[in-house]
Amino acid sequence: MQRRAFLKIAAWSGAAGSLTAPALAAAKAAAKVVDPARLDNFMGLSSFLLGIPLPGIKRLDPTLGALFLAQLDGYLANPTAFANYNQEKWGTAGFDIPAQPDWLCISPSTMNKLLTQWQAIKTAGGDIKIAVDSQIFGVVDLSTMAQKIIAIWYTGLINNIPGPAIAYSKPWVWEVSHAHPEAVPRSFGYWQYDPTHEGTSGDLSDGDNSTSQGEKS
Amino acid sequence: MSNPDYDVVLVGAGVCGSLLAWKLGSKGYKVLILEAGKGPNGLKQRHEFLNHFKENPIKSPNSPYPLNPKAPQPAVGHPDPEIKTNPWAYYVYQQPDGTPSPNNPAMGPIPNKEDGIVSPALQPDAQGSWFQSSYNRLNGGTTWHWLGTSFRFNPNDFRLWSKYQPQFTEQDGTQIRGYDWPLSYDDLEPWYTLAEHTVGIAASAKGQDYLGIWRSAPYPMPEIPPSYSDQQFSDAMQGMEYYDPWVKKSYKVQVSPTPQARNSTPGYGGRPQCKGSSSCIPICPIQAKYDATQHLELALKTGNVTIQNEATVHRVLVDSEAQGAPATGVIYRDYDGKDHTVSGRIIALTSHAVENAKVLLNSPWKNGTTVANSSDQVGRNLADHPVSLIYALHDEPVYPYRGPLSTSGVEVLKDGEFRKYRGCFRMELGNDGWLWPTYGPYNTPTDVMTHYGKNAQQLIDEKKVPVYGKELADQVTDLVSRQSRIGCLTEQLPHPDYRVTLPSGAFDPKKPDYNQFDQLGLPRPILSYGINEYAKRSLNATVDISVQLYKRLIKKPRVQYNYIDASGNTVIDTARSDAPDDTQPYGGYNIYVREGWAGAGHLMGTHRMGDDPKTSVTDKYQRCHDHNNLFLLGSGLWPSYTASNPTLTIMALALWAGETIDEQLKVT
Repeated sequence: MQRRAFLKIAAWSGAAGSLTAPALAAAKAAAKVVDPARLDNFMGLSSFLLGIPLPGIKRLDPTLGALFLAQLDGYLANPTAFANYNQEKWGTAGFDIPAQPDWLCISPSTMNKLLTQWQAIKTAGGDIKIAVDSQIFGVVDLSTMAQKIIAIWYTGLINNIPGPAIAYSKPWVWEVSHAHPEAVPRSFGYWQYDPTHEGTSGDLSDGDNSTSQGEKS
Repeated sequence: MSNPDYDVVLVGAGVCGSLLAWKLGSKGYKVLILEAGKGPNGLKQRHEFLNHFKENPIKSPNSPYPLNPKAPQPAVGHPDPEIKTNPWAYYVYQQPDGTPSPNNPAMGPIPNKEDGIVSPALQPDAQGSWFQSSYNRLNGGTTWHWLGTSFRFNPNDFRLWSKYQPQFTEQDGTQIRGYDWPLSYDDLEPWYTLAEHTVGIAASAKGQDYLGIWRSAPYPMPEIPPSYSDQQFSDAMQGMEYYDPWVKKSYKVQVSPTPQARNSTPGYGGRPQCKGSSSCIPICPIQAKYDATQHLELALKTGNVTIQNEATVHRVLVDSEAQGAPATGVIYRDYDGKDHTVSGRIIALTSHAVENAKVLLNSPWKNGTTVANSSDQVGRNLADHPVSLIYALHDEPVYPYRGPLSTSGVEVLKDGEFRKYRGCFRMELGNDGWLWPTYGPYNTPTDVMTHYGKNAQQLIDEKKVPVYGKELADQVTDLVSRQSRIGCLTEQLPHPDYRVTLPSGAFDPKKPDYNQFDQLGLPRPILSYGINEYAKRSLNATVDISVQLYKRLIKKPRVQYNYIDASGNTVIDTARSDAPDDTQPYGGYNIYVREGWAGAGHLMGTHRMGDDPKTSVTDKYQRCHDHNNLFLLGSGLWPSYTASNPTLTIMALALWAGETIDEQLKVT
């Protein structure tokens, strides 16, 4: 599984044709520093922050986790490059870039600091929630970073910067709200029914067999 | 004119150009389409656009379509004074009085005292008068990102003046009034029928039987099913009446299915059945929704039609100063900056309202005037359908973000005696939740997690922890599934100073001024725009009825009025809002009214048609009064604007123009 994750990251880095050159370089650089132990740590923290397991979601997809970790690392390593990428995308859409002042408290080392703190909390034992509330959410930069991790699993975005197109359909917000990402075809007429009733939510038909970023139980 | 290069030269490969090329090419005429944007068509292009859309953080109408500095298309965010740093910028904004627009126009409230009988809900900021609608410059044009809504206009839409005589004196002293069209519903009905069958519209005749609309043939496809939330709106509206204070009369209101240019039947027009991808705007991934590439492809298959992409027409040529002198051809500029001249027996400008006006205003004719503009009406009367946004958190799930973006609306208030005093409107019931007003659901998880906008330091200071884990999942599930919005399209009156103009002076390649000219050295359109009293009253009425409707759906309503300030922040208008209920999420409210207005993407009125050459640019056949072989197509022709989405009428008129041009070519 870990090797598959690395392959996916490489594929993303190579296929991210629309990223500007500095951003692409940053993403590639970030991919190199993702090692299995670090990814496991990231997945553990992500699972805790998202409340896994949840009804219907047994565990998170590590392939997607590797993508998100690489993307967050890439952003931390070179926020200017991503800002330029964002400028282009937002500009094409016809909007100014919104200010993101909360990001300013995060330095390139914040992710490692957060993961180290998470490891320490697990090692220490005791009530993990109490420890996370005080030792992570009680520290400004760690709290901000942890919130970015939650947000990227839900929406696929960091500071409104999108992830790669291959991860587009995965954000969890669609799954939990009984909806689906835009531009993902389903079936004719499904929209007239209550989606919580079995057999009325429509079938995926574009070859994308997973709208969920989790693995269903 | 000796040996023109083509029978017909069309400027623009959008819906008008594609339908006209198909119709004339099928009759054997030699047709050239000149298109500023890039080609080619095809599946590959759609996939590229889809990927661009998926990677773009903002799902705006133009988000799938890559930047093309050689054929820039409008960005409708904040106008930036440093245009050179924003290669995607295109419009230049100024106030209707000719002064420059402010750099950061806010969409804030202004006290409304003009009538005292309608709740002062929506007041566009006088400074926020910039035009908010965009279009596409590429093969297929703006049908790439249209919703597919395909209404016929009502019979009274064509006789606004003779039926209701609306007229006002604006605050600046300008007299504005309504106008009749030079044609009637009965004149246009056969072309509506032809358009519905040519394009493929899904609807039922029974569902569209209101306001005197009659039809000579059934729709070609059965209607698209209503959404889950449509059914709840429809139930809530049972027995509801809207009291209009302007005429002191109540109107029965009801939810109606929306006629749509998307397939309920597999295979019609070669398109698949709609699969509810929820992205009609900005792109249908499977082309179940009609777009003009369909007829562009058919036109090219006739063997008589040629398309030249990367060809920006910037001038129409008229060799003689005599009244009625024909247009002989056009000049277009390629992406290397070289000009080329093409001649034709018939010239038709088939671009969007801003582009048609831009080309004409850049074409000198006689005595300092420009081509087709002896009436001085070219570029004037620019209009849109200003949209109010009212959105809510229902008590129970309505399951948004599924299916076509809108499948139903309230249409019966598109006509009535009130049109003497205020604009009519339609209510579009959205299936896209809060995507338009708040960018939900992308923002909803963060809203909940951060206790609605608090940063990490603020949370620590308040001794709060972000909402996370199962609690966050439960809240997001609950909140996202209860989001809905109503968007109301309103009617404006024509205003001569809402207009398109061009920069004075010529482009100097040694000292290029990209604030005024594009990358090809062609003038950028200067837009002056505003919301007149007629539309303001209509906007206020939309809020009244929408809040009434939501109050029938929500047991403990708390109404919040808010606006977006110059910094992009949402500000609650506490003077108008209810007291918040602390037990409710999202600030203690469940019904929200966005003050100001949004653009509908319906650009109209820049070369209006009419019977009088002194006050209009074309006749009812879309032929210029000044040049008998120059045709202007599209919603720039509208003398008055109603509140119905314009595209089906654009199509019907384009098909009619094809017939007229055919007859004219036979004679000449």
